[in-house]
Amino acid sequence: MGKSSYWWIIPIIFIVLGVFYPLFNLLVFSGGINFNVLSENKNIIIFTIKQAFISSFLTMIFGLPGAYLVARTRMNKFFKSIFRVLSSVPFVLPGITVSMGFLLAFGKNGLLTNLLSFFGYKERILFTFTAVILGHVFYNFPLFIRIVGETWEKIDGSIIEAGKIDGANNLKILFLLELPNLLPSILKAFSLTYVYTFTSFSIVLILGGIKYSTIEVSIYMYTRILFDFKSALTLAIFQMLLISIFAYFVNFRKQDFQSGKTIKEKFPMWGFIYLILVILFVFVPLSYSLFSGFLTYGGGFGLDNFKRLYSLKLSQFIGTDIKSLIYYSLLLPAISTFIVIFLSTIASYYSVKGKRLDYILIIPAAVSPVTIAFSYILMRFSPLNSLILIYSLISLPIVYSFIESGWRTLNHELEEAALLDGANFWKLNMKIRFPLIKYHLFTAAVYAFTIVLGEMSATITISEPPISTFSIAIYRLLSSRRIPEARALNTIYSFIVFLLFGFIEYLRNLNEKRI
Amino acid sequence: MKKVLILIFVLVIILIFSNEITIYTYDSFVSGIGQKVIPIFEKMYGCKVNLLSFGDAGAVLSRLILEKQEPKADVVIGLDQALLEKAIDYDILEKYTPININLLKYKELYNEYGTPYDYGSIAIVYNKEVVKNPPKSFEDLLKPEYKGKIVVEDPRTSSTGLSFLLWTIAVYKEKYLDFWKKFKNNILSITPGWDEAFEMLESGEADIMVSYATDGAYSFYYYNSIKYVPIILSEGAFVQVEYASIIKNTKNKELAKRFLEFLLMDFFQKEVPLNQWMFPVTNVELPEAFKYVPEIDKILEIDASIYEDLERILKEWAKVVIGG
Repeated sequence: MGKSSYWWIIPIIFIVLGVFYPLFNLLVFSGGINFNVLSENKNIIIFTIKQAFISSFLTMIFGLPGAYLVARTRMNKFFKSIFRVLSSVPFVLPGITVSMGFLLAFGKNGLLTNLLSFFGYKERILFTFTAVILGHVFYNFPLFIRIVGETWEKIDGSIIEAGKIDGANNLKILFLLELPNLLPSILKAFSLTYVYTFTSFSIVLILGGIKYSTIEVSIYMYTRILFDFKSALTLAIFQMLLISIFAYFVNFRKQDFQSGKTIKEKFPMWGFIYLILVILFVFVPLSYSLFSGFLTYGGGFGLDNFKRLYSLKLSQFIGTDIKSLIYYSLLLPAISTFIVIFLSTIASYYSVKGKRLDYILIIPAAVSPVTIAFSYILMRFSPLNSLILIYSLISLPIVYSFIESGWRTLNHELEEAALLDGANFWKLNMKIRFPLIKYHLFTAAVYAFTIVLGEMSATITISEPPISTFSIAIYRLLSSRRIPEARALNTIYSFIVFLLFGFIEYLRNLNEKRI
Repeated sequence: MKKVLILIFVLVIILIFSNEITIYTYDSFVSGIGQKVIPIFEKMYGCKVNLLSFGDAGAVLSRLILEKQEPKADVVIGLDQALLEKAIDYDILEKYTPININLLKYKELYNEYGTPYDYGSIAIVYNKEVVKNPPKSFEDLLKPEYKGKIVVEDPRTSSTGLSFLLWTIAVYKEKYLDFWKKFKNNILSITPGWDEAFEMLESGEADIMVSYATDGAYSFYYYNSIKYVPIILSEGAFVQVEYASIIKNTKNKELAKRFLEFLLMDFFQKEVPLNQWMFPVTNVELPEAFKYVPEIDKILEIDASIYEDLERILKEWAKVVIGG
């Protein structure tokens, strides 16, 4: 890669051909831009920008202590694993599962409502701005735990030791030695959170009550209710530009990262308070979400939904047989995960070397998958190609961010030494680089796979038989009002996500034992 | 003799017409009634039907608009009054009146661009375990006792929500915003779609939601109990009619015409109640579960020009209710 230094063009071309060119076609089709729509949606635009900023800021405040605890303290190994797995899951849960979890946790008889009122807090949280923020923190705090946490674990313990010898206290070490090293990863997680909260749709509508609305809601209205593609596209492009400009400025590069084995501090007292907060505001709604599959019609609890699902002729709902459902549900995510890891590895390599790519690589997350899907329909891409393209695009920003944070932890000295020893490009990657960032890679791959598996809107818009996936089955069940069966299937999906993250954790523990 | 004639008729049709037809529709049609009726149609005309779905009816119309230059579909099933108007505006439909149109029970459902195949009414649904004194009219919905108990779907994202907004227009005419100004104080939350509103009812957060008149029948049929009871408010019902239409420039026009006629036949109509959870448009017998559907005494009409004006209406609505 060192010699042919134009490889970075591959991910750029991918985005140009996969996003810009199709959107341009859609623009031509709909007859240009309608600037009026911006002033008409002024309040919604301002609210969207504001809530995304507040949400991401608070997610960061809430996420960083968690990243520290996981990376730098001596936590009980078992609990650490559980914490890491649980805190990875929310990000990929289906919207309806999350909102159900929140409705139950913060609802009239929810555990959290009772607990808060026990401590004298009687205000209703649901259907307020606070609920929107809590929902967003819940969804995105995994980004900080994972992206920042994985990087934090790589900070060389010896610089911290050196700082201590020089008489610096922990706070000084944190601000002067660790944070500068972590800043690129923190900003990465921050930008991603910003994009995802900016384009948030259901959380804002469901948890916010009646007062709040985002740009994405207006885009939906223009495309799906009014069929005014011109206005929809104007808003979509505007949203894309705002986010891209944001990502351009919110990034920071620092060349040297001292990587090594980090030192683990004693688990601090405040850590317990923090854990209690995480349990209350993340794990409690999460468990409610997961167990919503066991919530039966009319408010009971039991295995009824699963029995219903089992006895249902599922093939009726998926338009094909179970075999091809499983085939496509594995094949499509696998192919796109492979593509996206390939593209992200290249892009992030150059980004670490100093090429500004963030503001382009983040764009796929700033356009809703349905808009891209419509542009592909216009261009007559085949369903299979469309899906693979869209799947690779939607997971690109997050996979890129993970791998970039990984590349950043690599020691240049180590690489130079290896090159001097005569290691070639392949050897360098396979023997030195990839093993060092393997948890960044694994996490990225699991996210890519599960995001794709759970993607619903574009999948529905595009799929034709024989292509049928897991999320189509869920959608079809929901749309024919088989709510109990859909809940059961969502719970199954959530457990698959758990298993995958659990598997990474298992590998990690296995590996640590060996060392 | 009659049988022989029918046989000859069918044979002639098989010989004359191409034997494949592509139909676009919404998802629940494919997983529901489609499974029952499509094989019958295929057998009748010795043809192959490609029944494709891409989400809800709105998504299907978006797709048809995008494919306008080179349509792939021959027939679209599932456009309601609002979507049908849009489709006519975009000039993607072909006029056709089925030869068996006289089977139609209500002549007012007729539209030259679409064959109506079922209809149903929007309703207010309440949890009977909690709401002891359910609202009976729109004015009742404004009572302080329902404050924070009602959940409504967003008309900007949900067809159920849009139908409810149209219902209020049918009742209050140009004064509908006055109703919403007061009504918003009683609304707990506005959800993006029907599913989320139902989840609110299920989790006990809300006690009343906007849904369909057949909800009681559905729940009786599947769960043998009715916890959520539908009511049609006393001002009159707002009826959503679903249409099927022929796509302009289709190459399989004859078969498409036969399909629209098929929709009015008993083969299709008798499957409507328990699959679509809507009312059939011809005189077929209703199943037992439908006795739990509230009677429709009066059907409210709205002017077709309202559909042309949806953008303004939704914006006004958003200004009053959301404030933006």
